Amino acid sequence: MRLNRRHFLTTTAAGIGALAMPGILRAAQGDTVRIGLITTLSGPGQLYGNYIKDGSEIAVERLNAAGGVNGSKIELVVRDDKNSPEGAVTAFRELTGDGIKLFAQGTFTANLLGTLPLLEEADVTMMMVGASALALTHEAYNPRAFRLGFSSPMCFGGYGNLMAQKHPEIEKWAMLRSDVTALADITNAFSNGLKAEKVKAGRTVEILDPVLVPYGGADFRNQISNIIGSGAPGLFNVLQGADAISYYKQARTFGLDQKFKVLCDSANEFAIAKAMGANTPASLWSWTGWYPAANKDNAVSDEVHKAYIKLRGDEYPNWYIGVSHDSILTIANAVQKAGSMEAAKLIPTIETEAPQGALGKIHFRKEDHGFAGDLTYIRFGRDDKNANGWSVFETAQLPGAEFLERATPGSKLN
Amino acid sequence: MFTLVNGLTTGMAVFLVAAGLTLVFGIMRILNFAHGAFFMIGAYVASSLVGSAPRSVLALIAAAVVAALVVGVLGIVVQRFILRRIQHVDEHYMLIATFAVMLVCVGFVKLVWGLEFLSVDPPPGIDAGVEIAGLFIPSFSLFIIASGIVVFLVLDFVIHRAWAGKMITAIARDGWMAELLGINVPAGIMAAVGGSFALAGLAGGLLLPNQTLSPALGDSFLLLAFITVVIGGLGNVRGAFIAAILLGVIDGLNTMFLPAYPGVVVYFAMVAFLLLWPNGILGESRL
Repeated sequence: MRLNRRHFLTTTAAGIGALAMPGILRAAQGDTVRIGLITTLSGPGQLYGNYIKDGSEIAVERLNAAGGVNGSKIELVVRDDKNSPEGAVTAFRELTGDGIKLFAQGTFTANLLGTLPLLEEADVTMMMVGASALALTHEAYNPRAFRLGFSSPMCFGGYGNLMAQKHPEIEKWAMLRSDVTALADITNAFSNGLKAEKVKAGRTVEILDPVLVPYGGADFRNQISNIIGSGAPGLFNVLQGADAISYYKQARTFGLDQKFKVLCDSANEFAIAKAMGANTPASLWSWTGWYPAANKDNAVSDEVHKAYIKLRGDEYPNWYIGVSHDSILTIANAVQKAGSMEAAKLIPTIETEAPQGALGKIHFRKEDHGFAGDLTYIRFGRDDKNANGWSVFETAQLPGAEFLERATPGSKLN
Repeated sequence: MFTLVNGLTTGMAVFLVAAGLTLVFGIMRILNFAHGAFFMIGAYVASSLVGSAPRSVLALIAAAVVAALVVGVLGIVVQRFILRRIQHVDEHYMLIATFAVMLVCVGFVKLVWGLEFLSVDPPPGIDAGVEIAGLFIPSFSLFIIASGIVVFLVLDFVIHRAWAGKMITAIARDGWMAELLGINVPAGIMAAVGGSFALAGLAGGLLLPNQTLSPALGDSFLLLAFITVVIGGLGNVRGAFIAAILLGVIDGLNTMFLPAYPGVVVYFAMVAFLLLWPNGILGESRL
């Protein structure tokens, strides 16, 4: 058959119409509120992406069980960013092409930096789940995005402050961190928090330069002997994941527990105790984004905790569960209150509302959309009386808003 | 002195991983990117056998031997279906193929053992430290050093003194001539490659209390093992042993004198060694 101009145009138009129809139909569906979740479900970082997916799904299940949003059910559409900005952009374009206007994405900053410039063009609203990098609310600030995560000055400045209050007798601190430049923010924030509180109390504190460890390294003995030889009674450790656990394992034989009066881990929380069991350090502080037992009067926190135990059988959920749950809850709450999925109506609603989430009241600083909720710290350690070999001894909470860095949306924080 | 002991520990740990890597290259001229992944599988297999708290040093060694056997069998499968087919193709294809095998291994570990971090304690007897000449040394460091030396001595004996080693050396140097002399070349290669992979599994089991188990475990030693193999001379086990000790000590001195730049001096050392000995300290070898 000979293809003439009229045939070509008709066929092409029909093809385009057929391809676009599912998106048009779905976008117009009035019985569901569709939220796109972009997270890391393969490759390095998959562990955290899985937590985010679990927490988000728990939120959707809870919200739908309570009647959904203005009578509409919530539907979560999950996509894997393959832990790359390109993967995140591909997923974002697919979902926006499908008519989705509401997004949750996390946790890796590089992937978020890929999608942030696209929000305006797609006219969408986004919750950045668990992301901590300063750039997201400073030089890369986008008014359509809210960070439900904890910046380094906030959680580690608060951490230093707490340690200075709890252990005023310690006048010398050593630090250990991976040789990743981004982690320097954490040691700096901890030092600043420690110094600020010490100055307030009229005391002085000596903070040693961090001992650096190769990221992903296999052997930390040389660094351990350096740290132990420092003579500091306080230690702040900024290693992550498997590195941190290998470090504690190797340091145990050097008598880490006896050499330091106070051991602080940056943010590995229960991953250490779950892996090390009865060989967990005797007493270890850690920051966490969410610990249900610290939120005793919070019914939402209890419900999320129970739902997670039912889902995974794990009594100690990672903090991403609470944060991702609250990200979805915040979006749903805003849609309900605004009665719309349009960014122009949702943004002021999220800025002014403070829904009750698992973490507490979820509120954001208006100027840069940084999360301004509470900070939680836990102290846990070896406990022969407990069947799993360890217990949580103590929790502490601080008002996060007091430790938020200065707002400089659109420009770098100096 | 303490830095030297630490360096020796690191060196022997790296040698345990590098031994199988250099053997595979010596036999098949293949740089096996998946070697770290098989080291990881060995560690996971051993951890499944001993749990999180091995009852004794013997239990740990037995688990490592079983892990070696399991990984050795996997190695024979990989050799039969993949390595054999890519032995004579361009190096790029070898790297891509072994990289793909690595991805499959990582996926397999995620499916079987999950993503959460696992930890295995040192067994009683090597879970504390000893004082030697006023120097505190973790017992597990001594265990690693002893394991590295024993593995080296056994390998060296097998390759240079035993009949089987001589047969494998003959195959590696001239397979065609070896076949003419009546040696079963395919079987010899399969056994040798299986043995090389088994070494990765053994290393995974022996170093179990040293590392955290995660699907990224394979990467932790792989780069240092590759550097060791290159500096020692590709395919040369004696070279790898010497290079591993040198790298361990250099890394220790790096931490002592340049703590702000951890791990950097090793790369400068590699450049220096290759400028001085382009074929490695003891030269490239076909075993």
